[in-house]
Amino acid sequence: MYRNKKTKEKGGLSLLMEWAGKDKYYIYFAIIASLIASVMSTIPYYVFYKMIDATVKGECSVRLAVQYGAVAVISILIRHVMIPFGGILSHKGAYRTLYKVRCMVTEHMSKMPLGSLNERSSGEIKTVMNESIEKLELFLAHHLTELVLYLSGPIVIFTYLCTVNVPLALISLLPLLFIGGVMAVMFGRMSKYMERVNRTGGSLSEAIIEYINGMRLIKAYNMGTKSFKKYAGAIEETHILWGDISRATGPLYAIYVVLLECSILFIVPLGGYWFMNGSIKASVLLLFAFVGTQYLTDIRPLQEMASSLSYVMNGVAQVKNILDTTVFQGTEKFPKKHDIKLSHVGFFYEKGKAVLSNCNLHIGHGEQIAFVGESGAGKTTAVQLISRFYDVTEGEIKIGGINVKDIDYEELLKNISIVFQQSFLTSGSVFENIAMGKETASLDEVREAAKSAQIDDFIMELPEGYNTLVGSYFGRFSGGEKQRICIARAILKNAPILILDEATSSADPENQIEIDRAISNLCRGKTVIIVAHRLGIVQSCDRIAVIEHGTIERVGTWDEILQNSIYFAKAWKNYNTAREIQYISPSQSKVKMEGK
Amino acid sequence: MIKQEVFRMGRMLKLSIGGIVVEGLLSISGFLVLYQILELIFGSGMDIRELLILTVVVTGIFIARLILYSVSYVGSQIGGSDVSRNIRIALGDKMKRIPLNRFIKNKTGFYINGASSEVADYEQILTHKLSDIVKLSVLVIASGLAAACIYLPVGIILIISSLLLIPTMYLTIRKVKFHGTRKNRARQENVSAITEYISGMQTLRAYGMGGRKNEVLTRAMKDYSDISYQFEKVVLPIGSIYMGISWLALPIIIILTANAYMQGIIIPQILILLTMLPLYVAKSNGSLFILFLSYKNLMLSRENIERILGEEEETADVARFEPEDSGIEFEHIAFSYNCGEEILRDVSFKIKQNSFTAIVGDSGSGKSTILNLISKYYLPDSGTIRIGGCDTKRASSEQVLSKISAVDQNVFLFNDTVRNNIRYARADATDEEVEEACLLANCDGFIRDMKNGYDTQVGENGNRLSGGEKQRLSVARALIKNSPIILLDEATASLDIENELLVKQAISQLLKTDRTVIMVAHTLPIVRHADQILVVNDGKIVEKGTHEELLEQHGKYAAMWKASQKLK
Repeated sequence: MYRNKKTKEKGGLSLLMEWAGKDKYYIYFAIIASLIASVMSTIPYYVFYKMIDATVKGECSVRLAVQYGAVAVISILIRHVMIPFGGILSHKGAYRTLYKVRCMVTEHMSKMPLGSLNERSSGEIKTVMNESIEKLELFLAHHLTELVLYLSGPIVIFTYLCTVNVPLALISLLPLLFIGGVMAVMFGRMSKYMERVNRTGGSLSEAIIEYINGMRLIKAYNMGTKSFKKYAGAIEETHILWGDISRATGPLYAIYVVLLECSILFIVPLGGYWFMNGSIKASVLLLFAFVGTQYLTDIRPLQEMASSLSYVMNGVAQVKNILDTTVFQGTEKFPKKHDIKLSHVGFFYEKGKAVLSNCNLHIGHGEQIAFVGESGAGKTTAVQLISRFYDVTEGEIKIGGINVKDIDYEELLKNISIVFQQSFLTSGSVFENIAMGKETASLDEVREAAKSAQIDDFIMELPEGYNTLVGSYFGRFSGGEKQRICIARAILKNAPILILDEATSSADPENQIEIDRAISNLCRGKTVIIVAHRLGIVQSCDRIAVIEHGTIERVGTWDEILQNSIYFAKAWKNYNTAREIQYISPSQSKVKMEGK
Repeated sequence: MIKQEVFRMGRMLKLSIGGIVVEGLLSISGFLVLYQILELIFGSGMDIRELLILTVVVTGIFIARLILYSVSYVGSQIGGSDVSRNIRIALGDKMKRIPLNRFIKNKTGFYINGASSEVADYEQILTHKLSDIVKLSVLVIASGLAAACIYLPVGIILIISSLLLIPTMYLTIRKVKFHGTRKNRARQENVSAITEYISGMQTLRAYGMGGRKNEVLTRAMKDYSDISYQFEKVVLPIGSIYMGISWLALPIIIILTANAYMQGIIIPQILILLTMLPLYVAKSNGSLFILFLSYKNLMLSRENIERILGEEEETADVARFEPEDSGIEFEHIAFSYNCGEEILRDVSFKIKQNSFTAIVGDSGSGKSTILNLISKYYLPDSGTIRIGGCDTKRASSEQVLSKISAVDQNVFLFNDTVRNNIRYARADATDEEVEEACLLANCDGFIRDMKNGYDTQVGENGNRLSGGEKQRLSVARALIKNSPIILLDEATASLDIENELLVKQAISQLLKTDRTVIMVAHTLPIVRHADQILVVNDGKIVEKGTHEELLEQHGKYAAMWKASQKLK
């Protein structure tokens, strides 16, 4: 196969074959097998013809029948060995390729900027991994071999018919001419409905999902009838649409199917006429009347294949879309010093809509700094730029004097610990969860980290201690316990830079105190950035950076900021007011707001 | 039975399927034409007149087929779509009567699939498979019988070649069942490994476990690939072996008929006709095998639909649910989501009408479950829950929920305008009432800031709104609904500072009128004035009483309170 060096421009099926790599040879062999099978499928017809010929000529004998019978047996055996053989080979190639493509995607995901992963909903990637890639199997294991199977049979038969009688062979092809026209009209009509199909399909699935997921509310508000009407409306609309489509394209499809056999209309009179004036033999007439009118029906499945091929192309495009995401590269080792410097940093997702602009900040080696600001002000973005979820669009960020863009991305991620609001645990054992990525860790090391994270006692009380599987025990971990396991993991990792997207967890106060203790153990000796929700914790930071209007408005100690930042003074007041609200029972008449 | 009624095919569909079968029979009439040609060749000889008649007959049959198939095909499409609609409507109707405790996460997915793709799959059977199966079966049987009438041995061989389909199907289904189950398991493991990988992407990468280095993931993907292949390896040859055997009828028949012809038992045209039949029958047998297999697969969809239709319905004694007041009582309640993992154990408490009760405890201790049990979203494994003295087990969800408003993290919004979303809570609320409720619930401001104000579309499940905004809308709903019981799951922990204050103020408004309030609280000071505080630990209520009473007990609550005072 011709290989195009420029992978980028390659699309569709040739790209898919490239992904298959060496496994495509399984598929090529499968194609050969189905070609053999297909050629073999014509032999029984040949045998049939020879028998008629002999009978007509009066040369029929049992010996001849045995001879041709043997030929038929051989061809049948070869064919029915070749078909499963080809199928097994093509599936082997296909499933190996699917595995490879899945690995390519997950591997690529592990190199992609985290930001571009964030932009895609995890649902989308999941769909690609599970469904779109699975669709590729259709092409690799079925389409290629079936195409050969369905097409080469008729081609071989046609060629043989030509050797018998050219004019009749050509006549036997006439249906192709007609169905070409019918198909064109059919696809033309169908495409007019496509927009409606998409819209209606979308609103049907939306209505079904809303109706079922919203059932609790529907019952709470006793609107069963109303919601049901909406649901039923969407169903009715779909029903009407398919009625319309059936009426518009159904007859054409039916005509397509029947027309494939229309050559009989020409072969009977013409063949009969030629037979009568002696230009063809009786056996030729019979051959064409039986085989010549039927062999084209083998291509009928091709029509379905054409439509499922578009699924495959779609799947390839979706995978390619992920694989085409640019990957961060950098060669520098992670620096020894860990001060972070933002100079004139700006960032936008869309030109003209800056999220951050002209941010300047120097975070000292070992300093603890808190980012505060309204939601949407850009706190999270600022932190994401430092850990290189995204690249700055203006200015630069340096860690230890080296631009983050020059640092090897994997190194960078290894040296920055990010503790998120949500605790992520795998379904493996508690030990594996803490030792994640550090396979050499000993139980003592892991327990040491767990002790710092105030979780060792709890783990030791589990039925199987550190070997307890999180997956089978998940429900029993409270939010606070999960969080502390994640902190233990970060403590063991011991990365010099720590970003805390601080969780205002729903842990009870006792648990929260333990979490706070765990976090302060984690922070010891590190350069720390806290994106704070609980302003109380900010007080213990060295400095505070207020992010407002897309830039770092102010930086300073707690006292300085409280005095100078109008935003922060107000936030602090709101924070305390919110914290001091105490709900009171309606019977105790009204809400009491106690001031401090 | 109602269940069967749902799947019933309309008259049009039955007629259409009949039409398609008749068309199929007409297509085999080609054989008769051929036989006619044979007669002419071997018998009287062919002349122009007979050729013309033959041509007219062939053309006539062809046109009849064209018309019959067009009409029947369209009819079957429309008829199939009718059935789909009926099933979907029946499913929707059924869904209303399934108790809410069945609407848990993985189950709703099953319902959604049932109403969407499973119905579509089932329709496939009606519009495509059924008519083809009937057609080919009739043709195969007819050919066999016809051959048997002409020359018995040939007929027997043809019939045997078709009957072998039965053991083949049996074997295939057994293999598919065994290996298919394995494949499904591997697929599920693959899906959950991928889901875990994607949701933990950031963490996994930070710990150097991305891509190939993630053994759990690669192993799951490899296993799935291998098992999928093994499935095909086992299943593929069975069909082929059968089809091969079925084709062997041809050489056998060739020899048989040649022998019979030589002995003068049959005439030459019969010899040719009989040799032709196995070509046709073998091909049809192959198609039938494939059709039956996909029919069997698609029937799984019908089974799933039937399973939904067969679900137990809510048995509510409509007349009986007349609570005296809005007090709530739990008596020895035990509950678990999965067998063996008890979430609540022997929980008993009483809540007086119009009192304020707080539930505190660590996350995961079972606090929210108590609220879900009151709403009848779940049913207790044992024990009794009463509202105003009435056992809620005997009431329908609608009856129970009509007394309750809930404000929690999972605010469900319909894809509609803001105004309508609030009004769902009480259909006869005026615009003024809606706006007043929103004002009290602190959402008037952000609603008016939106492009079309109260008439702004909120998007699918309100995806155009933030969490804090959605929570405030749910408070507005509760205000409008004005129900005697309020269930609050204080979810302000997930909010930022600005939203936290706004949501809390909104909730304060809600608490101003006489209502029975039960609140799950994550911070203690906010509920210190509650009439009753229930302290939940590990699925049990370990303490209950007022703030002062609990402090005096020097137990769990006192320790929690002490800790909360230390928190900044």
